[in-house]
Amino acid sequence: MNDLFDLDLPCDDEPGRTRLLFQSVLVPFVHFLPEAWKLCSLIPYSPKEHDATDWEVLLPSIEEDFRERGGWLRSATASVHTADGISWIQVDADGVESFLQCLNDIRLSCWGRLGNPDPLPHIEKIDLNFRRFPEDKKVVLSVMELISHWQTVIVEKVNRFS
Amino acid sequence: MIYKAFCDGLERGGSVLEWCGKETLSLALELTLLTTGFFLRSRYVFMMQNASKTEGLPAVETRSHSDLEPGFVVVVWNDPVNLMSYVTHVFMRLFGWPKSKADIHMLEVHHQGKSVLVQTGREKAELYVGQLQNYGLTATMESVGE
Repeated sequence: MNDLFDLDLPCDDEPGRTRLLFQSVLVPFVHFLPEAWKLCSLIPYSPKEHDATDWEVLLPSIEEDFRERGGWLRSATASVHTADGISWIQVDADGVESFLQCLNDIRLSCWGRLGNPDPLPHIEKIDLNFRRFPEDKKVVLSVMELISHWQTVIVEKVNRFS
Repeated sequence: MIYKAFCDGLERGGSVLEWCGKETLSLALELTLLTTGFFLRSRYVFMMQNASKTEGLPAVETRSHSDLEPGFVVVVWNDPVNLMSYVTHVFMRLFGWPKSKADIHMLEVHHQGKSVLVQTGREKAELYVGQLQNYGLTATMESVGE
């Protein structure tokens, strides 16, 4: 694995088990994810014109799923395995989707903490100005970028044969 | 035929039992009694005949009343934060679409600000909206008539 992240899909020996791989240097980052998730909140819904959704009925179940994801992430990242410079967490078949959702929760939260910028700043486009970013926002932006990278790798691997 | 035998017996002045016989009378009475329940019985026979005809055919999905009235569309709105590849993945995952179709809708969201994903009944539309929101996408549903 030359990249920062990778995805090892289930093999015949271990059907249903998937390994979410990352460089061992990123172990602290993975342990940081549940802490970062605690800062997440559901993005307040802003009603659209003609919206016919019954939000009073729907929101409780969305909030329940949201809370369950937080518990799932704590559990999934509790045991990180390491061998030969590569680390991983192991999840079941649905775990990949849950992990993607958790990563996205954190990204959305980071975006909120950056002040909901539109368009989104990218590190590679603002490298020269990065020093001018406030310290706390540098960390947030870096987390966001790392997560984007991991999300992209997972989605690409999962949908490779679709 | 039973009715004719019954009438013939009456015309000849004989007893009903004489001309029809016990067995025939029994059948006639049964027929009379069953007349009241004719529609129920015929409906049952019809159902059984149809059941035998549909053996071997694929099972028909049972849907709720609201799903038979596909009066709602599920709409996903653009945002600056969700990754394009992630949005495509969510569409593929939730709707079982091939990547090409999911990409078309993702690009529609990206360029036109929103995309209508499916038209269905209220219950299913709300289910989709909830699932899309759980993935962090901004989704709503609209009545087709509006």
